[in-house]
Amino acid sequence: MAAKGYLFLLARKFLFKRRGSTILASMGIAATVFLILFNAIVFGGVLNGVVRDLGDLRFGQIQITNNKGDITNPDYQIATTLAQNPVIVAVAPRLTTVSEINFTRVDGIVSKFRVETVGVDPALEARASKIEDTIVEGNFALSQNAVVLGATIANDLGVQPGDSIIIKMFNTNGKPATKRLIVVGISKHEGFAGFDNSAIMHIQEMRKIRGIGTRPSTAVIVRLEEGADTETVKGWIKERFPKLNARTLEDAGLDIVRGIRQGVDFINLVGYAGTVATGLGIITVLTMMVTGKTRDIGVLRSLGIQKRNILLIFIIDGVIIGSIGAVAGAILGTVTALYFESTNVALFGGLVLYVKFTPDLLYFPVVAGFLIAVLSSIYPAWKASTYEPAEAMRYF
Amino acid sequence: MYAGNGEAVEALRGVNFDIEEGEFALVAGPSGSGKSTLLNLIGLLDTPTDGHIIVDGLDTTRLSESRRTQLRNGKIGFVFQFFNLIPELTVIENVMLPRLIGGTPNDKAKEEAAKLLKMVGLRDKIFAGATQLSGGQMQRVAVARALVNQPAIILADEPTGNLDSKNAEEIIDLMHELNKSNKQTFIMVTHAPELMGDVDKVIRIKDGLIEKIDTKAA
Repeated sequence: MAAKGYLFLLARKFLFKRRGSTILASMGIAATVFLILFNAIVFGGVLNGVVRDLGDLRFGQIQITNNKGDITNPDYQIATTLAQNPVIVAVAPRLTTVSEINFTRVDGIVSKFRVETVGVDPALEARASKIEDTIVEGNFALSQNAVVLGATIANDLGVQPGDSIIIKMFNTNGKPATKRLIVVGISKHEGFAGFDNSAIMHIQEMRKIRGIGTRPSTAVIVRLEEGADTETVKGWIKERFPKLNARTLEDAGLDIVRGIRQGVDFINLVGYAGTVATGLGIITVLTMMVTGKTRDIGVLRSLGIQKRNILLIFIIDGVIIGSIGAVAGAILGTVTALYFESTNVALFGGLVLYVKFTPDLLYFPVVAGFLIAVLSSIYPAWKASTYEPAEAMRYF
Repeated sequence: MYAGNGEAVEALRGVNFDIEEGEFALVAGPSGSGKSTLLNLIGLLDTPTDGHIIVDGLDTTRLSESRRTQLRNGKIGFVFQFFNLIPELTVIENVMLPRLIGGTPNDKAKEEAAKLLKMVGLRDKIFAGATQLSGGQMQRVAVARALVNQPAIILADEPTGNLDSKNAEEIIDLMHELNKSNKQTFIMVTHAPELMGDVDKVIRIKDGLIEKIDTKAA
């Protein structure tokens, strides 16, 4: 015991005499720390997973668009220019429209659906996106007469790889144009931003059907080297194509991510309400302890302990509860995070969480849990320090 | 007069007496006469609404709460009827406590506490829990705790009130021995002064007033 070590001794012994209450209070803090950490892991993982899927399948790391409509610069011109930047590893143009797909079954029944239809260059897409990884049946060998259907559409139409469908879209004159295509693959993605409700065809064939000859695109997706600074590259692209709009993945997916984040914030609010309950629990536990120790507090005051030191004893109790709870919660949370990180846990209809655990994730929950315990001890500690010795010793 | 439950309680009136250094004094009187209130006032556990309590030439009623607390630790030792040991602490920790509060390093406090526990006959109990002792043993620990800071005054409030006659006798003898050997002032509250042996002064109180003061010389 150092100079004031006796305060710690008293705090520790008062607390551990009431093991049940101490364990409960510490568990409350541990649960709080774990809850905050779990939310950060799971919902952070969901957000990261959504962002990853948006990048992998829809936007790349940078998406180039034209606010005034399609990009009129030929795709090869954009690709050639972007190839000058060493951190750009792939560029792929996309042309998106809505088309009608007709399928006549063997029994003569005709099914029709209007679907989002994405024209892609299969060779460039293989490097710029992960569409190819979503093919669950058939393949991604998109010749000019081929189409890949999303699993939902294929299922609704009753189509399998090898079947032929008729696709109808409007050309530049506003007149309908049709083309028979062979279904070569089915695309299915359990996570976010997949093409399950879309059709994917060769971009050049789409341009031909629509009667566009200048190789325009709706968007160009750009994939960068790992660790590349997207903002710098975005600026570099804007310098070269000032009339076009270059957006990072975060910009492009902002509305979607913002929506999810608001949901997460709401769920976190429920968690924070739990932390308030924990704080009230600790106040109750320590207040009961102070009441039970009234006589002993009187004795301690008669032995010459100053009021401020009585206050400190019960604040130390808060520190002990907070420390035990924070450490337990941090261990539990870390183990859970490492498990999620290593096992590709999928939630919410198959979205694989993208969990990247770093120790700095622990700072906020551990500090918050610890502070809740310490702050909750202030009222009981203050109450204890107000007892007058003679009065307190009359208490049985 | 002191404040109790929001009401002013006039427990003592016009009480005036001196106790010399090294005296063994008794405060005697029936229940409700104000003995314990007097002891609490002398021990700076309560504050009088009027009057002065002079300890070692110092008017304690003019001191701040913090200074009074400090004075309690350094100059006054308490022995209570119900022992009032801290149940979570071991015997030696209970005895060390006043020294630690006073700022004595742990090792020195431990050494002195052990010495005192040996003196009161509890050498083999120093690491026992405070609640594992018999009543007589607990009161010995309380006496050791009261002595550990070598206070000028030991205040004992019915110290034998909760003991059997054999243990009571032993505690009284121990206090007399300490009074003689250490020259410390003992002020003991009792309702049975005749059982307290040879004392220097007996202050008899009734209804908050001093009825009579008997001194040894008289």
